[in-house]
This record gives sequence, C-alpha cells and structure tokens, in this order.
Amino acid sequence: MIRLEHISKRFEAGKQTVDAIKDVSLCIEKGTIAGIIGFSGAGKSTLARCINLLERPTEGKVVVGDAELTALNEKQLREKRKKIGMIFQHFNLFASRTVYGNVAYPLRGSGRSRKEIEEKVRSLLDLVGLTDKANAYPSQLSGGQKQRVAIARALANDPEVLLSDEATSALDPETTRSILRLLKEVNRTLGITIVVITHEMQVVKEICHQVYVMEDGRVVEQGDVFQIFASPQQAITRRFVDSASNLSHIQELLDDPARPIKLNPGDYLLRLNYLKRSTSEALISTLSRHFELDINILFGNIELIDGNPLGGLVVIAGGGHDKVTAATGYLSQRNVLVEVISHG
Amino acid sequence: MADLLNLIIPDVAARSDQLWRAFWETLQMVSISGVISLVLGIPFGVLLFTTRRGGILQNRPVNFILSRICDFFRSIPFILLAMVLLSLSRLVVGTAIGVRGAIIPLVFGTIPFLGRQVEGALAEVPAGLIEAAQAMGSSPWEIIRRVYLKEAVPGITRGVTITLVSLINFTAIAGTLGAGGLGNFAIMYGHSKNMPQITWTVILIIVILVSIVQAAGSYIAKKAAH
Repeated sequence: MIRLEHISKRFEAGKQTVDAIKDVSLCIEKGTIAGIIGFSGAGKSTLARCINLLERPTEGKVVVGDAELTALNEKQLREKRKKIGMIFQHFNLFASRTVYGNVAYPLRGSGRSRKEIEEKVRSLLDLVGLTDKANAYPSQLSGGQKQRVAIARALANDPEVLLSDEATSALDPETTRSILRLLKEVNRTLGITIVVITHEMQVVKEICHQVYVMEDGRVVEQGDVFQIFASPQQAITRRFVDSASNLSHIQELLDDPARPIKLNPGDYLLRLNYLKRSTSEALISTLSRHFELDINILFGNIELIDGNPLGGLVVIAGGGHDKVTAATGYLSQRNVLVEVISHG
Repeated sequence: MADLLNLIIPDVAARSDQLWRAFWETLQMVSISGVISLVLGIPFGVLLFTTRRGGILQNRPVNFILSRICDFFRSIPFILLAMVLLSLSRLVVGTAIGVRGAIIPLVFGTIPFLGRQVEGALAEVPAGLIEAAQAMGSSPWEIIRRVYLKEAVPGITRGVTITLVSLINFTAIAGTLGAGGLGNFAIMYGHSKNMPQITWTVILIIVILVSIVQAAGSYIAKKAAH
C-alpha cells in the first residue's frame, strides 16, 4: 500500500547540511496501522511528510497505492493527496471557518453539489461525534474536539491512507485514548491504512499492528508490535518498550539510595518476560513447588498487545544458585525470557 | 445653529460653501484612490509574500524586483513623490490638478504601503494551515484565495485601516500641490491668509474622519476574528 524505497532527505541551510533521513525503505500493508516511533530529531515526522511529499525526498521512490508519487507532476500529485489524509499535533484547523466549514473545505470545488457536501459533512461529524458543534469555531473547542474535527476533515475525500503526525502529543492521556479509539474505529470500519508518528510507546501499544523504530534518520528496528514488545533487539527499542511498562521501575528502586530492596545471600532478582501465550500457566506456583524457591513478586505487568497477552514479572527468588539455575532452565522451555537483574 | 457658528467661527461660516466643496473633494480623492489601491495593493501584497523564500509561489527574482520597487516608492517622501508624479498624471489623465490630477500620485504613494501591510498580515497566518491545505491537495491559487485571504481578514482589515488613515494624510499634502480638498483649503486660508479658525476646523474634520475610519476598521477586524 505504502512503499518507501531508499528514501533519503537532506536539508541544506547555507553551509550546513543535515541528513534527516538516511536510506529508509519500508512497506506498509493495506489496512494496517503502522507506527513510526522515535525521539525528537530522529526523522520520523520528516519521513511521514515524505509519504505525501510535503517534504520531497532528496533520493528514493515513494509509492502509495498504485501511483509512484515521486514521478507525478504537481497537478497529479494534488489529486493523489486528496486520497491521503493527514492530521497534525497542532490540529491546523482554519480559525476563520466553523467546524462545518473546516470539514467542508476539501469537498468544495470538487464538483459536488451543496446538498452532497452537506450530507457528507454531516456523516463525518456524526462519525467523530461532533454533530452538535457544526456551527462552533475552533477557538470554542477543546483539544480533543479540535483533533476530531481534523480527523473528519482528513477523511472527507475518502482517503486510502491517513497520516497522523504526533496527533495526540498535545493532548492529555484520557483524550489521547479517546482519539486513539477513534483512529482504531476508522481503521476497522473504513479499512483505511493509518501511519502513526509518535514518540510515545503507549500510543504504539494501544493501536498499532506494525512498528518502525527510528534513530538518527534510520529505521533501526521493525516488526509487528507483539514481537517488538516481547523481544526488543536494539537498546533504543528496549528503552521505548520499558517506557510503556511499569517493570522498568525496578531500576529506579535499585538506584534509590535508601535501598528499599534488600537481597539476602542466595536471593536473585529476576525479570521474567512472557513471550508467547505463556501467561495462562501457573508458572509461579510450579516454581515454588517443584524448585523449592521462595518467590516474592515485586512488579507485575500483563497487557494485551495487538490482541495477545504479553507481560512479565519482577521477582525475588530465594533458594541459592543451583535451584535458581534449574528454575531458569525450566522457564526458558516454557517461553519465558529470564533476566538476572541482580543477586545477593 | 448657523448664528452660533457665525459667532464663534465667523471666518469658517463665511466660507462654508468652499469648505463643503473641499470636504467633498477630499472624500472623492480618498475613496477613488482608496478603491484603486485596494484592488491593486492587495494582490501586490499577496505577491510580495508568496514569492518569498519558502512561500507557495517562491520566486526569488520576482520577489527581489517587487521588493525593490516597493522600497523605492516607500522611501520617497510623499510630497516629493507627488511632485514628480504630477507630470505622469498630466500624461495619463490629462491634468495635474484637481481631484483627477491627484489620483495617480495618491495611488503610487498608497499601493506600496498597503502591499507591505498585506504582506505582514499574511505572514501571521500559521504555516501549519498552509501545510494542511497542501496536504488536502489545494493548489497555490486555492491556498491564496481560500486560506490566506480568508484567515488574514483581521490583519488585512487592520492594514487597510492604517492605509486609509495615511491616505487621508496624503490627500492633505496633495492639496498643497493643487489637488484641492481640505488640505488645500487649510493652506489657502488658514496659512496664507492667517485664519487659524480655518486651520483648526479642518484639523477637527480630519480627526473625525480618521476616527470614523479607525472605528469601522477595528469593528470589522474584531468581527472577523474568531
């Protein structure tokens, strides 16, 4: 659906050149929600803007649907852009137009009659739940409502693709969730391919099927969301995954000068990551019964990622080196990744 | 009323016909050159802004030439510009005096001023809106018409207001060069014949005129801002 082939983007300002994107290739299937995650400056927004050529890549090919965008002339490109909706961090609504006027903007001048436009706008406002705000101006709306208007506007021309550039970054967590739910619904009911640019792993966790991790202009890791969360390979990916899980709090406790965690000799501080559908087994009871370990659970975090349960525990296992080693072996067979964080 | 005026400003009351004519001439000069300046000055400002580096019609040579022309006319004091342009006026409209003779100098003095005002107003439209419009497939022309000129209405209205005020000022100067109007009237009697009543009456009328323009402009700008 979306294919980027060897995309590079270089910005030149005077004598300074910045390589914002370095040889990125990726392929996003029709109907999926793909996340592009990275810290600020990683090039993720630039990459998204290359998809509709708001930013023309210095090198490489952009293919959306059956058209190679990089080969189109200006007029053809404008037509194609009508099929690629985009929403932004700061909403970018027209302040001088009402909610109705904003959503109608892309529909005017497209040969539709007044009545057709009105019907379309009404149905879009209905979809985003803002029917009663049609005559309000953007300045009268909350952030979440503004983003809903922006989504309605982006969907006006029945796009095949929706680009979401940090669309929830200016919103509070509750509003973020409601916007993400709306995007998910749009994806499911309209079958629109969505590309989500974000710096929050929470966003990826909630709606994405696929994820691309960007660092310094490159895609350093990619895969389906479950796989990325279950076994992140790169250090940066691990940081993102940790940021979305409370298991990472263990590090803060260990670094705490008050030393709230005390390990006795023979105690092992373990982090268990459940990889594949292992959460339903009574693993902890088995460990304590069969391997005679004393297990103290410090943190637990089990979540549904893309429909699959995933998560882990941070535990203190007491019983000495040999018993713990035997238990670790057992856990590995059961698809649980064991990491020894520290021992007494 | 007439008696009262006769009592406090006899010099003015004795010349009320001429005052009315001067007032009428000023209104004519302001409205005719105002309309011409709006029609030409707003597109001029749009071009000044959109051909800038990074603008939607980016064109460095065109922008350079327009900017230099604009700065050239803006840097000449209006009284000198008017003097120089009177011969052009004679060529184009057949006369260098009266309301007709004044239109060309006034228009040349006003368009560059308005152009810069419009340019500034467009610069206040958030770049994100232009991006959003581009992402929706709008052409540069659509963006100018449906985004810039709509979003910048409050700013443009403020610019037009300032321009009209300075245009009223220009007509008074043009009056000294034979254009007629209130400026001419004040110079002829107030200054040359030393009748301060005339001068002050003209000043009062111009202050009221400017206040009305300013109030109307502020009202429209406020109405247009949401």
